[in-house]
Amino acid sequence: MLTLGVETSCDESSAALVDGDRMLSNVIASQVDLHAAYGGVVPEIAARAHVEAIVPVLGEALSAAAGRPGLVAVTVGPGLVGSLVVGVSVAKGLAWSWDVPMVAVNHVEAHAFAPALEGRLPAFPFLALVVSGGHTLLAEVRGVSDMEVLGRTLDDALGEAYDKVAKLLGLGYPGGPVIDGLSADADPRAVLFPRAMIGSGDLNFSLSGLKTAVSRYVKQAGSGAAPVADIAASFQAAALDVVVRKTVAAALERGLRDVVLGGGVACNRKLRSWLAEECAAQGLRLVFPSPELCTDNAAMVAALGHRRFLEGFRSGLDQDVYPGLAFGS
Amino acid sequence: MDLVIRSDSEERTLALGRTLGAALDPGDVVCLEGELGTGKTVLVRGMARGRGYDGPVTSPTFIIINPYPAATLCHVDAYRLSDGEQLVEAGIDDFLDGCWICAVEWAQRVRSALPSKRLTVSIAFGAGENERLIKVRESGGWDGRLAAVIREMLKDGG
Repeated sequence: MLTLGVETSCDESSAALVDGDRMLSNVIASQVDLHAAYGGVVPEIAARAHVEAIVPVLGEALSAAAGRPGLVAVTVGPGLVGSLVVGVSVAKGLAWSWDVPMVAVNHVEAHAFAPALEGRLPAFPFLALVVSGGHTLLAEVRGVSDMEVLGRTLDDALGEAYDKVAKLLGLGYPGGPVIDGLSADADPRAVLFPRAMIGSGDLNFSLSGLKTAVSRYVKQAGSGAAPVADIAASFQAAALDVVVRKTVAAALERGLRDVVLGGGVACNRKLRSWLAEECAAQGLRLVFPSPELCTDNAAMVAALGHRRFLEGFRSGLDQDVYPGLAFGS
Repeated sequence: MDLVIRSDSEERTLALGRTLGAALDPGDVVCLEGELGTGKTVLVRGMARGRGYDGPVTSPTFIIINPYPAATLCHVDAYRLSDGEQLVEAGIDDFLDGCWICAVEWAQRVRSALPSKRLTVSIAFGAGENERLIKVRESGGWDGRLAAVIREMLKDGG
């Protein structure tokens, strides 16, 4: 079935055409450059930019096939309300004018299904680690509509921690790629930052204290501080150490052999290599999508939307948006 | 009234937030100021606890506005905004209708979108590793109600 996916929850205006799990197009107009000047996402700009980008993005995505889609899948949350409304309004308009069904998708859940587009989605159940600017969670995925959150951040999201620490260190936005890049040739043992919650006995994360520790270190060390690349690498080591260990612990605790890594921070090279290493050591199989399928994109929304459609989910033209939509709800 | 309370730990800051949260009424606006890592979200978590909500209170930086209906508390974060207009665009007016307590982080960036009657809580790093200096300032006529709130907070603080 030809499915049109639409995603406008945050930074990216995206539309994709997917036939089953075969990706025919996945067009993404990113606002990262636009937001870089402000050090992050600015809702009013985000909403206006989505309005301007969505029609050309849709046109390009739809031109990948001659036929008309039989289903529209759209992100209804979580995200910025003004941005979500743009995608949902467009999706309703298309579903109504084409007279085809529409299905609502939680785009954080969709991250766990992104590997399907590359033929690599593991069989249920599997463990999903979703890490992005707004979300950090571990979930057992038992089915398309059967997911259980095992752990989550109690304060800052992983991508948010990268952004804020990059700001503290005077580096650019977005913080993830900058810190990951700088860390490649730097010393991750230069500063011993705390591994918060590593012994908490549960699968939750806390990243706020790490940000405070970096801030305090920079202030106290003054001119005697380690080179900024070493501070960045040391921060990254502390943040990822906890994430990697808890992910492996979650898989072993739940007896899950397959792990899916998704979300924007899944592009992080150090996270990919470190988690792959630790998973391999425990006999776990790790899957992560290509970078363009890690960040928010409409193809993964179509992939999950199609599955939800097959399970009987439908949305009416009164479909609302849910900025705080919970994973697995 | 303008005074400084000293907190020597995250737990103390949380307790101060709890006292503050319990003393506030729907319609009240609390502006939180302070650098990254001073504990603004910790204070808001305490406020939620003080209003009977025990679930997670996470950073709203990404989502900007995060309501906790069980606590009639709306947690707002203007970290990524540059003016009040953007906070209005994000939908703050729905939560300034007198039915919610609004706790606004980085409020100095979006003052024009907030009412003039507000409590401003500024948190600064102190000398000790976990020490914070919490300055409380009212504006816009609290009719002496704040004095009682602060007396309670002083019992918790140093």
